[in-house]
Amino acid sequence: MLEAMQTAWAEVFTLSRIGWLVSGVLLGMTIGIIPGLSGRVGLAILLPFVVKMDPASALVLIVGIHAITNTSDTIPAVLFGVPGTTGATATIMDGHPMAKNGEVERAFGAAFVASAVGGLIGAFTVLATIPILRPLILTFGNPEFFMTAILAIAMVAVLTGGAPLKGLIAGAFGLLIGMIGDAPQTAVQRWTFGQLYLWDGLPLVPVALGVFAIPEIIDMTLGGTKIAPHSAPTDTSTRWRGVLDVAHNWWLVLRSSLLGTWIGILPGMGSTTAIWLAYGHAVQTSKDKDRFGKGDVRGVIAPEAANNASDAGDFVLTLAFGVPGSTTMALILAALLLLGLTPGPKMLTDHLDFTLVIVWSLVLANLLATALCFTFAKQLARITRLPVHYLFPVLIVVIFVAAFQTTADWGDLITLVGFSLLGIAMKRLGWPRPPLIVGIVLQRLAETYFFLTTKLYGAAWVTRPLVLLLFALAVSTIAHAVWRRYRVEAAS
Amino acid sequence: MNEPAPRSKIDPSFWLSVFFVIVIAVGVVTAGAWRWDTRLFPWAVGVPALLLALWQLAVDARGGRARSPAQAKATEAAGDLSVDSTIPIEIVRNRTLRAVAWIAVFMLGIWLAGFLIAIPIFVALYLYSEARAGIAVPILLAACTELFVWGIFDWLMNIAWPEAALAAWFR
Repeated sequence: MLEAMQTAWAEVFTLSRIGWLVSGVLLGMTIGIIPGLSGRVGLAILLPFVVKMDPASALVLIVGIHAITNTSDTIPAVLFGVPGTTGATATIMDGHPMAKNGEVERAFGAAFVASAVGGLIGAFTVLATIPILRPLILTFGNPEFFMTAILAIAMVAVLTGGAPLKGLIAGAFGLLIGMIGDAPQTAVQRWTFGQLYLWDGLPLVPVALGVFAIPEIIDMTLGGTKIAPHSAPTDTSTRWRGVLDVAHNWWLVLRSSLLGTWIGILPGMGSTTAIWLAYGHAVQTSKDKDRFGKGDVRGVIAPEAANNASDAGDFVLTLAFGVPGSTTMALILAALLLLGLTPGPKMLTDHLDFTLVIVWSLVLANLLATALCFTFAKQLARITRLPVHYLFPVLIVVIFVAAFQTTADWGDLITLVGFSLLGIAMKRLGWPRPPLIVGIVLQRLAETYFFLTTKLYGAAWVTRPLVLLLFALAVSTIAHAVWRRYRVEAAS
Repeated sequence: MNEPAPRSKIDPSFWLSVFFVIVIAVGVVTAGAWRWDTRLFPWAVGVPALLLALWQLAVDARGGRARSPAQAKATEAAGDLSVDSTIPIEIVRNRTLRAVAWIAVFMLGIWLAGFLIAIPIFVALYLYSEARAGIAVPILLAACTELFVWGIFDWLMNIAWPEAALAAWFR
């Protein structure tokens, strides 16, 4: 194994491959900053070109693009409350309030370093667990996957317990919205009203941009001045304060990274589940929950660490089992096949060198992206001092175009506007929006595993030990939130 | 001993609860027409969701108590981002409606003239009238935005833009 690692390192650390890595990182960073675009777009553009490259160079370029979108998507999330990708939706919760409080550089410092550490922990965890990965994953059957989805929705629905009933309704509503389109098992159209656009379900990008981005951009204009109107002038020390925050919360970083890696390994779960589970976990395990949602740096650190860590897990799942955990991974799978590499167990034996090239590329790409983002954090922070009326029309244009590029249908724009109105109403009237998004994201997974579970296991699935444990966690999460709310009501 | 907080009028979130009750109820009822394995999950989620939404509706309709500071603090924590409470509610309402109106204007512009024509006009008009940025800045920013959108989405990604209604009428 050590010899293979050295060989792979020598493969990556050549001038030309480092050049490809830098190119991939720069392209990935640009894509991550533009709302609505993800690594998927970059890969789709590059797929025809990588076929002509040698496999190691192509892998380095692919990893460079993909791994880094999860670092740079933080930038619009923190500055404007606009998620660069859906993997940055949880970062908005505390990152954007930090920007409004004049702590944008601190938020960037913490986010970029947490991303890098998360990516490194993910990559090395995957490396260390390669021999036991298969039996580890097989401990999770369909019932456990289903219960994990339910646990994720429950955690996000109640978060700190401010409005548990509204959170549960929003989560369930998200699940119902996710059911629009063809039913996965029977192919019967549900709530499509004869519209071809709805057959594949509502696309996530316009929904997420509508629910989160437009309401935040409108709120930016309420003060009528700047994003951070009352902020003191920032200096470079605040970036380093963010770095210190990561060091100070090392235990949270480690837990979030391991959680992210594990969620990344589970098929279909994806980074959106990982970030919200990590955010919920950070809130639940904190004694002082009141700062969350108002600019608590832990609310930035946890999802960012989990986001990049989940990528490493996702990569291994694709390589070792040939099972893509997301659309982006499906494209990477296609690229591997075009390069003559067949994903499967042989990637951990015969082609271990290529697998390790990917792991080393992940490590280097994360370090490089963090260094670049960290260097430009000060310049990026200046955007918070621009008049909001200069930013509003440009951001609205970018969001509309980003939403439209999803399927290039008028339905994208109608979805964007419809969910913007819902997002504005929910925010104004105190209904939490995160459970709605998590419900939509997890619907297909939850329904598929629910169907398989009931078909394969009958009623016996409820007695499986891991199912019972996950169920107990979900119930206790909701019960704790309700109890906390009851105590507040009783005290007043 | 804490004095009971005074009762307020109907909670504004009542109307959103009404929306959720209606949409979920329609979903549950229409799902009844599907075969068993198609409606199983919609009902497994929809029926409890409907009951929870009705419960929330009842809570809102009772016009809940005015919140004490401790209660308000606890209920706002981390569920979601909150609106800046230092801005008067009238200003929040007016500026929100103004922003929504501009978004509607942009949408109308896209429908009438298409993306690539509506974008610079929208950016320049907004900057001229809302930011009072004179002539040069709106033109410059409109040109930069147009160039960015054209470069990334048209030239690089070859997005198939929708046909403008005006173009269709005059064809």
